[in-house]
Parts: sequence; C-alpha cells; structure tokens
Amino acid sequence: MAGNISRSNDLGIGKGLLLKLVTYASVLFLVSPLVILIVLSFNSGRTVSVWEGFSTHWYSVVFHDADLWGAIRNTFLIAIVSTVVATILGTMAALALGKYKFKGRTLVYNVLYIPTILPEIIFGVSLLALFLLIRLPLGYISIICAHITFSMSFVTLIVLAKLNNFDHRLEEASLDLGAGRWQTFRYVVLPNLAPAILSGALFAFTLSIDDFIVTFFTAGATSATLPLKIYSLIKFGVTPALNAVSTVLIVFTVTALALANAMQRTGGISKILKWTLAGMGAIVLLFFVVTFFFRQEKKQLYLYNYAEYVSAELIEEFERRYDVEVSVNYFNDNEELLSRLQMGVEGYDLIFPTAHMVGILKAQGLIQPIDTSSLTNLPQVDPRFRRLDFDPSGSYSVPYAYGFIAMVYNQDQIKDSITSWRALWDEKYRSNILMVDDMNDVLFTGYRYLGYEMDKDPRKLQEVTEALIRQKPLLLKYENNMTRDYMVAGDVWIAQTWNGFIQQILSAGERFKMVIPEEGVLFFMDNMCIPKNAPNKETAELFINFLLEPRNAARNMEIIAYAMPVPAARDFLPDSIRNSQAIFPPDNVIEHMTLFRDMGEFNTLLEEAWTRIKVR
Amino acid sequence: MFRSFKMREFHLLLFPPGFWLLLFFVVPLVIVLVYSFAFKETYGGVTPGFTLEHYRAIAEGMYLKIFLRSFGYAFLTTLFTLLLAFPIAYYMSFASLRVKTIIMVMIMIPFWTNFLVRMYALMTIVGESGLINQFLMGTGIIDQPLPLFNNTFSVFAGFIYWNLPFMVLPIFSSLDRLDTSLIEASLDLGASKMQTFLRVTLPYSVPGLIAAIIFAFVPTMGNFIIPEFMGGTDNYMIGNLITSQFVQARNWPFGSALSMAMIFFVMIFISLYLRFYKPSGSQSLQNI
Amino acid sequence: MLDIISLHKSYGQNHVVRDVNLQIAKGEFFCLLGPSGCGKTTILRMIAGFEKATSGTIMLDGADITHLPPNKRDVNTMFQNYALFPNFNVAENIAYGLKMKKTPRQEIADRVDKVVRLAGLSGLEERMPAQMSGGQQQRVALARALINEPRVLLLDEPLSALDKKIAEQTRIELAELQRQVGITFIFVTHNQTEALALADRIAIMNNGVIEQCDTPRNIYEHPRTRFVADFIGNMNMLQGRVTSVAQGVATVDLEGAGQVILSQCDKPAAGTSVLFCIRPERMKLSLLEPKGYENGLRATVKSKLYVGDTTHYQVQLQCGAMIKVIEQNYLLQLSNEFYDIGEEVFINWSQTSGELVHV
Ligand SMILES: Nc1ncnc2c1ncn2[C@@H]1O[C@H](COP(=O)(O)OP(=O)(O)OP(=O)(O)O)[C@@H](O)[C@H]1O
Ligand SMILES: [Mg+2]
Repeated sequence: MAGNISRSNDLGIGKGLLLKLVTYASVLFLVSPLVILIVLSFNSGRTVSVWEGFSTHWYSVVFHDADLWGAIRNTFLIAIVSTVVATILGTMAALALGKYKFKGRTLVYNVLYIPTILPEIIFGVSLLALFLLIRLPLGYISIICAHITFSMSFVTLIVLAKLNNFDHRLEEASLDLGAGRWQTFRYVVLPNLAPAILSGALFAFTLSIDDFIVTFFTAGATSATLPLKIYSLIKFGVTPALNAVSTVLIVFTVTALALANAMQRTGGISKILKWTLAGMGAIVLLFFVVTFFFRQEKKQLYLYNYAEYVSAELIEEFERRYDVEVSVNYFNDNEELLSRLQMGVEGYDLIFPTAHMVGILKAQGLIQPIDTSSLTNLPQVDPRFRRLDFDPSGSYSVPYAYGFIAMVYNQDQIKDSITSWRALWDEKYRSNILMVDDMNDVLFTGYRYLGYEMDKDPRKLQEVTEALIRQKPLLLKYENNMTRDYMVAGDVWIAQTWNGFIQQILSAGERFKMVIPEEGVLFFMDNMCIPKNAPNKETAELFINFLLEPRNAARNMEIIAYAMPVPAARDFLPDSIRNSQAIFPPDNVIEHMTLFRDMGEFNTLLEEAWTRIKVR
Repeated sequence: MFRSFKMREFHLLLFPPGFWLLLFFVVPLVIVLVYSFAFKETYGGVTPGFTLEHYRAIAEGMYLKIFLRSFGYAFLTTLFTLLLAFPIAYYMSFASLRVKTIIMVMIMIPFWTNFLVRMYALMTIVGESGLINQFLMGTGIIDQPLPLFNNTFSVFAGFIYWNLPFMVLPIFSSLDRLDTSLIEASLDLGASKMQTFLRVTLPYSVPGLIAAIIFAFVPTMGNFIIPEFMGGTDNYMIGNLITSQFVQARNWPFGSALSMAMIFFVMIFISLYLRFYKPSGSQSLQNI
Repeated sequence: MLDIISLHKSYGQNHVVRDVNLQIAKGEFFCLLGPSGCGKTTILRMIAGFEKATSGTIMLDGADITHLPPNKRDVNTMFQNYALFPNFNVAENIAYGLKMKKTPRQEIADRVDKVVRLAGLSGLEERMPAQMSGGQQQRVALARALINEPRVLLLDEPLSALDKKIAEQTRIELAELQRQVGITFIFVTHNQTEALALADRIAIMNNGVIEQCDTPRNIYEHPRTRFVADFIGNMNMLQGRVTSVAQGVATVDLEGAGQVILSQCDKPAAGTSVLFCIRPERMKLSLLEPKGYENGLRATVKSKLYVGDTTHYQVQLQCGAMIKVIEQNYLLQLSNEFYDIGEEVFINWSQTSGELVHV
C-alpha cells in the first residue's frame, strides 16, 4: 500500500519529463482496457466490441444464467473451505518454525518456500497425477486440496515474517506478570499475530478465487469455478455477457480493495467494518442456503459437448418440460474428451464423442450401455447409422449428427476459383488462412493434399508432417470455435472448417463460398454416450429421446447446422436448411467422403506428429 | 539480545502441515518424476518401466527450441516489463502523496483483477477487429488492419500487461523505504544525480527488484493461456506443450518429463538469483 | 531478603557476570550502576528468571528461586521499552497479572482502580498503548508491575526513554511511590546522578564484577577501587607510594610531584603502591604556601574555563601530571583571586580530603 510519508522534494529527483511520460502512459495502458470493458458491458449489440447503444440487457442475461451462478457458488465454496484449511495449516507451520528450533528447520523452510515460486502448471499436473493414482475423482475435493497446497505456504511465510519480527519482550513481560507459556501464547502472541494471520487468509482467498491453471487440471464436471467459466467463454464463443461478468468481477475487486484499505487506515477492524464484514459473510451464507435449496429440488443433467452443438433453446425447453437443470461444459476435441474421462473427471451424464472415439471409450470401459428400450424415438434414427463397426450391438451409442470438414472462402478477398485443399498452402493467402485445431482433421487434410490415403505408413506420415509444418507460417492460427467471427469480420480469407460452421458463415453473406475439395473430405459422425458412473443416467436417456423427436431434431438442426440422422425431421425443416448443400451434401460428395477410423497403435505416431507440428 | 521462549510442544504443530505438504506436494512431484521414466499406453495411461526416451526427445532440437523460446519470452518479458515498472515505481516513490495514491490505486485494481478478465480486456483492444484497429480504420488512417493480434507482438503485449502491476509493487516498496536523507547526503557529498542513482537508489531497490524478477519470470515461463489466446501458430510455449500432453495427447510420461525439465530450468534460474541474494522469503510477500 | 550468592553467567567463553554476591533488604531502593555491557541487565534477567544462571544461587526470603520459571517468582520487571501489550487497553494491561492468577473479577476491578489512581492514570483506562505518550506508557508499565505486589520490582533503565525534564520529575515520583508501597526496588541505570539521588545503596559494576556496593555517600566520598573512583564524578588520580603510617596519618610520596599527608587513614601499610584520589572541588588554587593542616603542590595553570557558578582550571604539576581544580566563583570573588594561564600557583587542600586506593 502507499507509503504514508510524502517525499516530495526540491532536489528535482524523480521529476523528469520522460519518467512522467512513461508512468502515465503505462498506467493508461493498465487501466484503459478495463475501463473500455466496463463501458462495453452496457452495449446493447451482440458483437463484443462494436458499440450499438446503451443497455443493461447483458447483466440480466448474466443474472439469469444458472450455470454462472453455479460457478460463482463453486468458486466461493472452494475459496472459503480452502482458505480456512490453508490458514490453519499455514499458521501451524509458521508457529512450529517460529517457536521451535529443530535440526531440519532449514529444510522444512525450503520445502515451504518452493511452492511459492514453482510454476502453477507443475502443481496442476503433479496433483492430477496424484489424484488419478489414488483414484480420487476430480471435483470439489480435488480442487480444494490443490488450492490448499499452493496457498498454504503463502500463509506460512506471511505469519512467519510477523512472528520473526515479534517483540519478544512482550512474551517476557507476560511471563513476568505470572502468565504461563500457554497463557502467554493465548493472550499475547496469538492476538498480536492475528493481523498477519488475517492477511495470510486474505491472500489465500484471493489466490483461490483467481486461480485458473491449477483448477484447470483438477476440476471435475460439476465443480467448474468462475475462472474456468470465463476461460470457456473466451475459448468457445465470446458473448457480451462476458463483458458483464468481467465488470461484476472488477467491481467486486475494487470494493474489496477499498474495504481492505479502510481497514488498514483505521489500523484495525473498527466496529463499522466488523459489521460490514459480518454483513457480507451473512450474505454469502444466505446465498449458499438459498442456492442449496433451489438446487436440491431439481434434477440435474451434465452434458459434455462441443461448443454450440446443441440448441440452447431446445435445452431450455427440455428443462421446462421435465423440470431439470441442464449444465453444459465444452471440450475442444475428441482427444480432450478422452483425456478428461481418463483423468477421472466424473459427473457427466451425456457426452458426444465421434465414431472412432466411441470404440476407444468402450474399450477403455469409460462408457456404459444405454437402456435403449426407454428410447421411444430410437426407431426414428436412420438404420444405416446404427450398429456400425465401432458399436456393433448399438447399445453403447446413439447417433447424434454427422458432417464433414471442408473449406470456405471470401470471394471479395479471393478472386481465384478454389477447388482443392492446395489452396490452404497458397503463399498468396499468407496469414489469412485458418485451420481447425483438431489432430485428425488437420492430418487428413495433409494426407489429401499430398494425394495419399490415410494408412499406417510412417513414411507417408513423415511427409504429411513436413507438409503441414511447411504450411504453418501461412496460417493465422489453428482455431475451432471462432472461425465464423474471423471470417465474417474479414480477418481471414479462407478457412478449413466443419460444414456446420460453413453453413453459418454462408448465411452471413453472399460473398462466402463453400468448397468441397476435389480430393475428398473427411466425414465424421458424432454420437451420444453415457459415461460410466453417470449420476443421472435416466435423465440423460430422457434427453436423448427428447433430441430424437423429429420436431426437436429439426429445431436443433436449424441452430447447429449439422445433419441429424432423423429422416422424419426433414419435413419440419425450413427450405433454406433442407436444401442447403452445406448441411446435406449431394450424393456425389458423399461417395468421396472418408470416415476416420481408429488407427490403433499408429495413433501414438499420429499424436507425436501433431505435437511436432504444433511445436514448430 | 532478547530471545523468544521456545514452545517445545509446537513441534507437534509441524505434523499436519508437514504431512499435507508431503502428500500433496512432495509425493506428486515424485510421481511425476517416476512417470517421466515410464512408458505410454496406446490410449493414454502409464506402463511402469524405465526409459530415458522422453528425456532424449526433449534434448532433441525441436522441443529444446520450445524451452529456449519460453525462456527467451520469459526473459524478454521480464526485461521489458522492468523497463516500464522501474520508472513507474521510481516516479511514484518521489511523487506527492496525492499522486502516489492515485497511481497506486490504478495499479492495485489490475493487480487484484482476475487474470483471465484482464487478458480478455486486452484482447478487446488489440484484437484483429479490436478497438485500435477499428479506430484506425474508422478514421481512415489505415485500410488494412494492423497485425496486432495472434502473433509474437500480442503475446508480449499480453505478458507485459499481465506482469506490470506485479513488478511495480515490490520495487516501489523497496524504493519507498529509502530514506531521502541518504540521497541528500550523497548529493551533498558531491555525487551527481546519476551517481547517486547508481550508487544509492539502485542498490537500495535490489530486494524489490529480485522479488519482482522472480515473480514475473517464473509464472511467465509456465503460462499457457496467453500464447493460446493471443498467439499465432509459432508462439507455442512449454506450458502449452505440457498441457497438450496431459489433456490431449494423453502422453503422460512425456508430459512428466517436460514438467521435470521445466522445474530444472526454473530452479537453475532461481538458484542463480539466490546466489546473489538470500530472500527471507516473506520479504517479497510483505511488499504486496 | 534477596540474597545473591556467587552468581555466575557465561555465554560460551564470554563470562558476563562473575561471582556476584549481594544482600538486598526488604523495602530497599537498590541501584545497579555501571558502564554499558557490564552485565547489569543480565543480572536483572537472572533474578527475573529469563536467563539461567551458569552457577550460583538466588534466594528470595530464604527460598531458592534460582531454577524457577519467571511466572513462578514473586518478582516483577518493568521493561526498558515498557513492553505494553498492544492488543490490550490500559486497564487490561494493568489487570493482566491478576487475571493470570485467576483473581476474582471484583477484586481485579478494585485493585486496578487503586493502582490507576496511584500511578496518576485516571481517565486513561480505555486508551490503547499506541495512543499514549512515553511518560504515560511508563506509568502503565509501572502500574502493571506494582499491582501484583511483588516482593521485588526490577526496573531496567525505566527513565532512559523519557526526555530530561520528564525523567527528572518522574524520578521524584518514583522515589515517592517506592516509599509508599514499600516494595524492594532494584534499579538499573547509566545515570550516576539518578543513582546517587534515588538509591539507598548502589552497586557499581564493571566487566561482570561488582566493584563496590555501598551507600551513595560512601561511593562518592570513599571509592574503594580505581574503577569506582574514576567512574563516579570527577576525580584527580595520582600514582604514589605510602612512606609511613602513624596514628591514622599516612604520608604518601607522589612520584616526582612531592609529598602529601592524609589524616584519618589507616588502611594501607607502609610501602604499598597506591593511587591518591581527590575531587577537583576539594582543592583550591593559591599563590600562598599551604598552611597548618594543608597539603600543597606546585603547579602551572594550563587552562581556565569560566562556567558561571564555577571556574575549571587545568594545572600541571612539576612531574607533568595534569590536575583539575574547580573553584566556586562566589569564593573567588570574595578574595578576588583569578589566575592567568602560565601563572605559577600552589594547589592546596585539607589533609582530611582525599582517598587512597590500592593498585
Ligand atoms: N545472548 C547473549 N549471548 C552472548 N553474549 C551476550 C548475550 N546477552 C548479553 N551478552 C553480553 O553480555 C554482556 C552484558 O550484557 P548486559 O545486557 O547485561 O549489559 P548491560 O550492563 O545491561 O549494558 P547496557 O547498559 O548497555 O544495557 C555484554 O557484553 C553482552 O554483549
Ligand atoms: Mg542493559
């Protein structure tokens, strides 16, 4: 905090113009993004950064977002519990180190010091490894344990600093006046240590509330914290609601700061502040009690899916019809889905893996059979999509949607007529190309670019890897979810992406054109599966059945822009969708389509190749 | 001369936190160490065994390059941020109380604001269709957006933006403790302003500087979010590599070996510093 | 009542307190005086129980308390920096000792009230230590110690943090208070005036050893060792040898400066080397030879310093030794005798003045 003594001087030190300039420019640089963010949170428009008029609409969106409230609740719950434990443990360690001299003291001190300077990611992965080994399911407990571990040392160091600076004559005075050692500890040492313990606790609390990296590795399905939600919002589709959430967080920060500052000014916890703190505590408690009761009544359903891959409106309708609260978390690709399930993330009821992944998940024992007898709408599914080789019995998966990866480009920016994947290697479009951030799709494109089939030949893979590495400087980046925004804003000219996104881009203007490359496209089929230990299996089955209802399927297809294998749904589709070649490609395309198959052992090589490409 | 009395019983207090650290800090690191010598299963998972393959792979040029890049990014970020942070801290420590307080508030707000929120706020400004480009194109100064985003520039902007408040504070608090009379004495004894700065002010700020450098360097080295969101295709850092090994490639042994290598790198850096300066540990914290 | 017998304290090879023996009576105001680092605080801390004696015994009213912990001794300390508990207000600070002894609430309240009034702290009971002046804090520290009615109160330079005016006034109050409560005080100080003014007896310490333990008057008038002579007040010291002792009259031959005679002195045997000590104010300068029972030495005036009530001369004896002489100015004015630098004079003094100290 600001020193209290002003040191303004007439020596002309610290008064240079350049110094002033650097200072104010930097402060402006620090603060202006936050201010602009706050301003934009009152923007009425749908775009994140174009002003369209004043509105508090996004605040009401945030306010009514149950998922977000859940995340806030989780954040506070985790922060409170971990702060209490970390403060107790940290203070204990400080007391032992400060009041008891023993041989290994320096060693213990160093072990305590290291956690404060170790990169967070190390905590994340090492704790993840531990939790998996001891079979602790990822969730509240794992996050809390992780938070305690990295904040405890800070508490110890803060309290120990105070203890080492403690005026020990106070202890002597107390002994001298007839108090025993324990009484002295109780009446003299502890009360005078309290401010340090409190600031340690405050520090631990902030660390916990703020933490993203460690939580990213140790969180489960139902325990997402606010930072994880924000991350997911940034990654999987930014809406102005994020501006509003951020503003609320900033306001919260400033208030807390002001409070802490006032506390410091008055040199302690004055009466008013005591009441304020108590009031805030009461509000938090009330919040917990209320949300607790609200939560208990409703059934829950946790989906783990690609972003924007189920119509939000449809989910709302499902929630209303069956009185269920649905939460959705997103994964980036099949690999992430598999990793998370392997890590022991539990709590998901329904996941959406691609065909080859269903086989892997099944083999790994990560999914369980679905009670198909309860699915009255199952007969609506096109039988050609059922009982494929990855799930011959058809009991582990229900087909959800299918599509392919192709290209789209902006005809205003690219005048050539594009027909081949080779366009993605075209020097003319340097820095204006996007590729998806998905191993299989990228590698497939590489294979086709070289005119190869995807097989298990390492030499071909080597060539493909080199071709893709050669391509990298031409790319803006590998991007899955924001492709539409980049294309529509004109920031990139050509993108390799999935047909659903292509459909959305096409509907944004005549200037966009889809290309189904002559070398052929990669076909994918996503399925609905129920993870083992899903807490709400029946609700998940209810949801599957709900989605397969032709009317619902049609509504869903309109939004996600991918085809669902529910033939009866076509009748309910508007013409624009029914006739869209991006959603229902013509037969000659389907003939050229390739379905990605599990490559078994060869997968390891593919993954290595993918890492190499990314790393270059 | 006065010594505190000992509480022998307090050694018992060491057991709960000690046990905790052992279980949740030491053991996990040991697990990672053991994994780094093990084999990967086809679909993820770890087969026990002993191989130096993963370390050999790291020593191979490609991954080593990532380490060097991360080190370089962290180093340059620390340097650039320092070039901004020191003048701010210096200016603040000599400013009037009012100015000092105002700047302090301006620094404390980003200091305590969630990292992701801050990064997102920066993205709205430097992003491809962010406000800077919107403004420049709207006023007709440029007709093509400037390449401000998804490249090395924006990665550094992100890192500097992130670290700046964390660096200013510790430096400021050591400078603020410097007694003005020392400066006056130095000037009085015939030293020039520059000499005074080099001989008095700078040495005095060393504890704060060290804290600032460690607090910027290490987290930057391990960050994977800024390269992910603000970087292009060639800004991949170790953090991204480790993360991808755990949450995508499911190559835990390789990820573990990378983590070990990272700890090694960071420890080298830190021990280099500790050779010059022994922190009381908490000192850097008190500055906050 | 407090008996300290061959008390010894060493830190490793460093012997800080050596063979200290003291008998302090009930109700006595006892002063420990000595240069910095001589071991005063260490003795106090051993009496209080903060420091373990290396050897020796401390007895309080006949009971051996050498190995008791501080809280089991009927001894309280007033700390140099007061060591008030910052988390308690004045009343709570004062009540601390009683509370620790589980004294009934009502009794605590009554006794706190009494002590607060005694210490002149009325109206300040609710103040926190940080909100008080040094002098007030000092009173609180005193009150906090006194309320326990200890048998011995140890005060380690209690006045050193106060400015001179307040210290002087507090000194008077402290003496007054001690008389009222009748508790034995052991008082450590650097300040000789303080010690001489307050104490019933003073122990002069040097290098861990007690050089002399006596009444203030005896300490001043009859220093027993060279250190004490040198340490207390101004003193002229001249090397010499006793040539004869007869009927309480000693003759001392000062090396190269002449002979002096000392009446009422029977301690040294003839032939011993001694130090002849005499205070500057006991001598006077004169142009006349000594007469009657006077000693006289020839000297040359080297410097003169007029300081208002007195004039300080530095004069040189024939052997080269410098002597300081302080003349009362009102006496000088009567005789109108001022001496100039370079003037040849006699230093005269009565044969009853001066002291012999063994070397
Ligand atoms: N813990 C210790 N370890 C080693 N030496 C010590 C220790 N405590 C005190 N001493 C030494 O013991 C000697 C006596 O110290 P003490 O505090 O008793 O002096 P003092 O007479 O009170 O001096 P002062 O008037 O300056 O307070 C000093 O030389 C000091 O350096
Ligand atoms: Mg002392």
